[in-house]
Amino acid sequence: MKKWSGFFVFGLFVCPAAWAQTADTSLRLPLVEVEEHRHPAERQPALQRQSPDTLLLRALPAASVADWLQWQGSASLRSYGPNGLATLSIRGSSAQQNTVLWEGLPLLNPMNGTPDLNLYPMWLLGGVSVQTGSSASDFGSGAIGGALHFRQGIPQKHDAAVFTEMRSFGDYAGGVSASVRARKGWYQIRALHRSAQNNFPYNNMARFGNPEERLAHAVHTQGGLLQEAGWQFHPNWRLRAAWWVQAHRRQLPASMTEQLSTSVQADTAHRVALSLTGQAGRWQLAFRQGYLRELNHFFDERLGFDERHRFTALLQEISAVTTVGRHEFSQLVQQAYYTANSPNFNGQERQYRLAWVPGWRYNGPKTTARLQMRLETVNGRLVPITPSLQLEQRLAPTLQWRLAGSRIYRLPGFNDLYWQPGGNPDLQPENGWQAETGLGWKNQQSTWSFSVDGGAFWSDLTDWIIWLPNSSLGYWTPRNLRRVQSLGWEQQLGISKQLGRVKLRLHGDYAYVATTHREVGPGEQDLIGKQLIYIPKHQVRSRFFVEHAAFFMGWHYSYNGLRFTSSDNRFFLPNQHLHQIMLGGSKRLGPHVLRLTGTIHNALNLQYQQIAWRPMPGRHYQITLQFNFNAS
Amino acid sequence: MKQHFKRFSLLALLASSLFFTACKEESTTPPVPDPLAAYGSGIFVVNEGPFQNGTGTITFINRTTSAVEQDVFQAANGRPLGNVAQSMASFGTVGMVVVNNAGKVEFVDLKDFKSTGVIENMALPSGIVVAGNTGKAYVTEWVSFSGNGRVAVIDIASKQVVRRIAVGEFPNAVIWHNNRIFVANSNQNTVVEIDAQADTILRTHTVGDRPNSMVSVGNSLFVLCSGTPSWAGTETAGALAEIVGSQVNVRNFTAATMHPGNLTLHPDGGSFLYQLSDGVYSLSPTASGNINPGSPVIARKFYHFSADPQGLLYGTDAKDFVSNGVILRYERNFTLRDSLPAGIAPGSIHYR
Repeated sequence: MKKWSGFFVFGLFVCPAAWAQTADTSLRLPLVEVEEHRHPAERQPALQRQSPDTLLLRALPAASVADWLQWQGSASLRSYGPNGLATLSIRGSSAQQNTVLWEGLPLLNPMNGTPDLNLYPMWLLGGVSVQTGSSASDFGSGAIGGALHFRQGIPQKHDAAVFTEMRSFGDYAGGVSASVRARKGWYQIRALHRSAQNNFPYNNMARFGNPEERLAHAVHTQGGLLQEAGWQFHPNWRLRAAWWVQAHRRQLPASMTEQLSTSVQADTAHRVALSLTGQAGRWQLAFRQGYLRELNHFFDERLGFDERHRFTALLQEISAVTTVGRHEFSQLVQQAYYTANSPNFNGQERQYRLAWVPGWRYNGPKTTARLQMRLETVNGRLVPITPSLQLEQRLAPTLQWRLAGSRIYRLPGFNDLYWQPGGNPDLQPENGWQAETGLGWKNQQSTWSFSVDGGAFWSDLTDWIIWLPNSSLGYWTPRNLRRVQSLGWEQQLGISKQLGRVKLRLHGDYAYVATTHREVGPGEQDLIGKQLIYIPKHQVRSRFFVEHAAFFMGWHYSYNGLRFTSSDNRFFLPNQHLHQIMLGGSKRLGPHVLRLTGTIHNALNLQYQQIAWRPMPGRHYQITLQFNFNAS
Repeated sequence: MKQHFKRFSLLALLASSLFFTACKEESTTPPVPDPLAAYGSGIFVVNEGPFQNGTGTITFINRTTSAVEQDVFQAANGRPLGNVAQSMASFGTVGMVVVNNAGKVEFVDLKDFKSTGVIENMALPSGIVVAGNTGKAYVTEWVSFSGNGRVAVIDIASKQVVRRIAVGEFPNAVIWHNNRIFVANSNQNTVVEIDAQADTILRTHTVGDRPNSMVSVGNSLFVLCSGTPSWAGTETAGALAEIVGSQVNVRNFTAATMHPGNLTLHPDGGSFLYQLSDGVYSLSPTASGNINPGSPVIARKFYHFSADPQGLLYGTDAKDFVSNGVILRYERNFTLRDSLPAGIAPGSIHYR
């Protein structure tokens, strides 16, 4: 802790001036309007960022981030089931190669580095977006495929909302939110509770005759509370504090090929974020501090194990931005101190990370460019220096070209380093390079708009960490064995048209991702050139909404191409086409609004799996009732 | 996911030390296999399959032609075998495959490998051996990861568990020797001797730490013990115990860091073969004193290694455990003969 004593006198390497306009085109969620000062790494050109459609949030307020990414965006989701672990793959990345940031602070569990997207309810988070590719790399370790951002907005008035929803298979959820806005401050609170039996029927293809069975031991309950308060104590200075507590208990069901499961996972998390942002002279300053404390508890009375894994993280950063003419200079200093306790470690393990991220940005009339460098030490050892460059050129009033490239890396997690037995303290970070380029065209007229965006990406990652059994020692151990290359293309199309009182919106995302082994370990040569497991080469997400006055109808379509389940590409899950239909309406009651939405999930009743032998539910239904007080 | 690695590590440890139990059944007189059976004679490679989210498979190798058939269970029955396939034994034309996480023993007809029945609701079954001509098979069950296991006595004809016998922790390897059943408690230092007539425990032998594989030679039962690895407590050396009647003679390996596994009898019958971390070693059954391994006869580590009593030496390579492995076949003089494809994680072999 001695390391922290001098933090608040940390020297700033700043130059004078003021904010420049960001090129970010992030969509906003309801209830928020004012943009908070952003992390310098979020102020990039060539930024590829996607946010959930507001109608999705209206229809499915208790939805998790996994529920969103199932239907929208270009990321690929791997889910063990509606209550199970759900992980993200962006542009061919592994589950650990994406980072999660809450209020700009990294949220990842340092033990395994794997974000479970089913545990992030969007009702609590307020604002959610996913940032892909090279522009995410400035967030440091793990931001290889991209970064998920959770950020609360600032309420502009008093308001409140309450919702309840019922879904098939014993799935009930309810939530409340309230915001108070005063001249110099605000307060907002959000709470959610959800409980699901998840006892859906499925055909067990692992049993003779494919009998219909119901998923057993799959109950999931979760609750969360997020509060945030802000104080504009000076015209130029703002103080914010947020506290997020969440707990969940999840029975872990057996796969089709297992007899039964009686294992349970019960986790709790406390997360605190403080920030002080403002302007001093020509300097735009931000001080952020975060504290995370999480417990992962796995137990199984039948099998006789009971394990508790704890970690804490203390995160601090100072950023400063200034402009001189068309040039903007930014500085960011971050430090993080992690501790982890696990019965699988030799006592408590600790890690201290210190990073310095200087940046330069040019804001020309047609050109925006940004160069940034991240230098980081971990326990005093310098990890790969990661420069990144983004360039955006307006070729015509409606046409933009972008180019970006960066070095990328991921530090080994605590489990990789310290797990007993098997942890390998000599592991090197995964590291490599990535680049992308693309064109975006957008035309907006009074009654219609049309946008199309296409881009290619490439990444090459060496020292890929893989756990392999060491049969001589009798346990698994991680090694830096492989080199993996990703090549791909992402295409987006958006059309909206106003026809009298009817508004039509169509949006589509297509992604082609070829992620292959280029170098492998001894005896694995036949894996070279093979697609990595659970990464579809082709993926489509599309949505079509019709809105008429107080009513709307929505259709989601999700296509995943075949996904290999063995690294020699002999076994695979077939293509899947999923459909979701939503119907909703609202009734204004003075300043308040009552909303009712019905949803048909998996409308064509497809029997499918996202992880081999883990069934997903067939057609099922949901109804949501939401009341917004003082809705404008 | 990594939170489960302790369990996986244990599974891997146990899986890696599997079974040399059925290879001595030729010391009794089993029923004559039906010569018309498609799978009446040959080599059955038991592939565990991917952990948790996959299924085990059986690879069949024709001993005469070296023809390989993959996933013969799925092909014959139109459904997967289950997760995680551990071991196999046979009696006449009846084949029995033990599937651990699926908690079952699948019975197949070796004429065509079609399923003829299943015993379900077993508690983490692991090893299997046929008790000579008694018509019974003995299946070890771990039951849990923190307590004692048991042995299920199976009547092969009726496909029923007729009795269960409590034994020690992680009963894994099981063998038929001198008309008795011997069960190695792989998380302790004991081997349980069971009377196969009364199905009661006769005695418990103290051997080295963590017995993992056994071979029967005449009146002697040889038990290879891996010793305790450093990550599991105070490290102890591996050992080879010889059980004759109630007498046990334990010979330790010379270094505490030596943790041997996969004891098998060379097809010539004159020596043992076993694995250390850097390869396969040979050992004379009649030697005495502490064991100094010397140089490996095959300088390669396998996921599983055993000898076909009728011919070649078989080593398996599981690669990354999410792709199909390979089987490497060696001549009796330890020269590599060829390699054949296997399924995912080939963890044990049944020779018939």
